Amino acid sequence: MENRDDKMIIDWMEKHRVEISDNGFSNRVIHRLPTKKRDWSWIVGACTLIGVVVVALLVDWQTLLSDILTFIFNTPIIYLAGGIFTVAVGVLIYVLYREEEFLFVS
Amino acid sequence: MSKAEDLLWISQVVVADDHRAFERLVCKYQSSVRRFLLNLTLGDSYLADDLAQETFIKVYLNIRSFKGISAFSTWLYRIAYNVFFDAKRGYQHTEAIETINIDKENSANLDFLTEKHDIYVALKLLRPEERVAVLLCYMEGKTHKEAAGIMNLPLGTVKTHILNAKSKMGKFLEQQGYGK
Repeated sequence: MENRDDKMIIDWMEKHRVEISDNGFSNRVIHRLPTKKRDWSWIVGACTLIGVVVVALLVDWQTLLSDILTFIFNTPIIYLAGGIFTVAVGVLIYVLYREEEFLFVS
Repeated sequence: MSKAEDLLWISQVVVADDHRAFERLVCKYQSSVRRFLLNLTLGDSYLADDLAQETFIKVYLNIRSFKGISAFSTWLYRIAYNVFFDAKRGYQHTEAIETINIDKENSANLDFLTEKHDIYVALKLLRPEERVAVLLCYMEGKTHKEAAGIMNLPLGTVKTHILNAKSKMGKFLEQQGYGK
């Protein structure tokens, strides 16, 4: 019974499945498209990349590494823990914000 | 007609804001989106076309957020579905989209119950969620899982909607003499 109903509905829907001709619809959509503001956000990435390359070429890595390690070992644990916690919270907020944005759009 | 072709056009729109590539996407999908909205609005072609235009404009504005995880058509149907329900909510009297077209035509034409319009009468018997689910799966060829993704509902709920819709439509079609 269910299969018979299934087939009947599928056949009937298939019969009513029409292809709609464009008739200028696409053209109307294209003419209604809003002008986008130019996106300059790529500059941030480009500058970061240049900065990383410059640093990689100029820095004395051994001195830098020893300075960083000295800094970490001389910093009280409470500050380090606070810093790590702040970064983690920041990342979490960013991820949640992006997730909400994605859900809203799609 | 491939996913790669879609991705190529999408990347052209994202990178170069290429209207020609976007027009190709519109040309490719306009028929299915307009048909989906036409059936959801129970045959109101003007409203369906307005909603379809709004859908494609939303697609254009948000195309960067398309991740390519699902098929482009699935993402497109999801936007069309949201546009339809936003418009529906926008109407103060919710009956507007549901009845305006059928009632108008019904009063104007006594031969209304022709095969051409049977589908809108049948779809009107369904609740909006049932209508969307049955249209996506039976008319637009989506799987139950894809329909669940488009409607943002659990798979089980979509299957329940389809079962209910099938039962209502089966009765209607039998009353109309189909399947005999």
